[in-house]
Amino acid sequence: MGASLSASGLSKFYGDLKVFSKLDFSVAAGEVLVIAGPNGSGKSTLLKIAAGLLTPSFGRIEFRNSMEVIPKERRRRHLYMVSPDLSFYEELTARENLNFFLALLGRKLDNVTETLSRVGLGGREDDEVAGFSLGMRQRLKYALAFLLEPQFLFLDEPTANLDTAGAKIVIELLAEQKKRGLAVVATNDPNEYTWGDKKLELGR
Amino acid sequence: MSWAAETRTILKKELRSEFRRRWSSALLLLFGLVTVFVVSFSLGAGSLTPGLLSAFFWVTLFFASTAGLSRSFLKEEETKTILALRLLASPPSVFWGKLCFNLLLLFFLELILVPLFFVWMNVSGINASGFLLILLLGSLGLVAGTTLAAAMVAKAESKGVLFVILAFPVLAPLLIFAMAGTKAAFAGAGWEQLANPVKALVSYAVVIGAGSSILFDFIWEV
Repeated sequence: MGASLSASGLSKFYGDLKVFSKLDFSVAAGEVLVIAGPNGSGKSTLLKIAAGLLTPSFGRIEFRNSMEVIPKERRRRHLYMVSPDLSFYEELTARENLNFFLALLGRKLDNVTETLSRVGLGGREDDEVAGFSLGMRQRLKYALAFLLEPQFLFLDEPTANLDTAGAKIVIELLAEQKKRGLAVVATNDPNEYTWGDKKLELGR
Repeated sequence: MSWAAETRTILKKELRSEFRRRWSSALLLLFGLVTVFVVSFSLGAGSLTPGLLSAFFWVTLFFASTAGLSRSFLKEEETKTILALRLLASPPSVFWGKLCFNLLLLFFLELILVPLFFVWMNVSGINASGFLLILLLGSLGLVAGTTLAAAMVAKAESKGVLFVILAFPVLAPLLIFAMAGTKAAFAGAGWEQLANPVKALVSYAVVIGAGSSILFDFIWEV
């Protein structure tokens, strides 16, 4: 038994405004959960709660590694999130950005050249991110996902700003992710629903 | 990875970013230099009493630091890099990394500003070691208070106003003690007259440093 994620009675309110309420779901090792729903249905909010970036109004979310519950303060070592709200430092190069985030977790950057080639950024290691297009920045987020190899992967609008070749990177990452842990994908693109083993529909 | 190593990683990143873009150092230096120059030019060198000199010195440092150091978290929020930091860094290492960076930035400003202040304002006959100790302790307190206030306002809508409202009550006691100590040092007073401001500044730096470190976890989690 590997990584697993379970949520019970999860609700989020901003004042009187209900984003979602009483959500229950679970994701086991080797599974991909797709969260679907129209704009404003709370997909990104749910993903941020799962990644520990927002606190739920009610309910709880539990990360497990085998039988052991991973405490909140140790979760950052096991998870990663690709989101439109996540950016890298523009004044640093691709290599420096990757090196910085890996170093925060006490890890060394070994195979940056191959990883960047894998996401279509070969030869751009020492270019400042300021000169990257939106699609290239999105690919850099996936480069970090390949390097971090998290047990818990959260993808929000995974193919935003990506071309067809870029979308293949996401499919490749999810295939790898199923071998080492689990993934939760928030999308409103029906083509991406097929990536999931499970689907959670959010709506107003 | 240890807390200290993580803090060092964040400090190194801050220094590299600042070296590339010079967002904060340019602002700090511009504000500090212009203020000292304008006052010395309009009032004339040697015309100010130790009390006025010390008030003027700390007002310059206070406003330069609020203008420059308050950007430490604001920049992360504006450029959306804060999400990656919150995802992958531990809260204490972010706070201490930013604090160390802000402290180095303030020391850089002081390295340039203090000699110019002494020359342009014709300051002489002071207790130099006493002044340096007050400056060091005051800088520690100023940076700890400013870094915490900057973290608190980073997500707010009216950042500028809120920063002033939060920073004033936190930093007012520090400025009172720092000005009293600097006034005594500028008047050439001995260590016995500096003892009380020094004790107060040490207490302030310890309380604000420890308090900020504890509070920061809650601010970061929100």
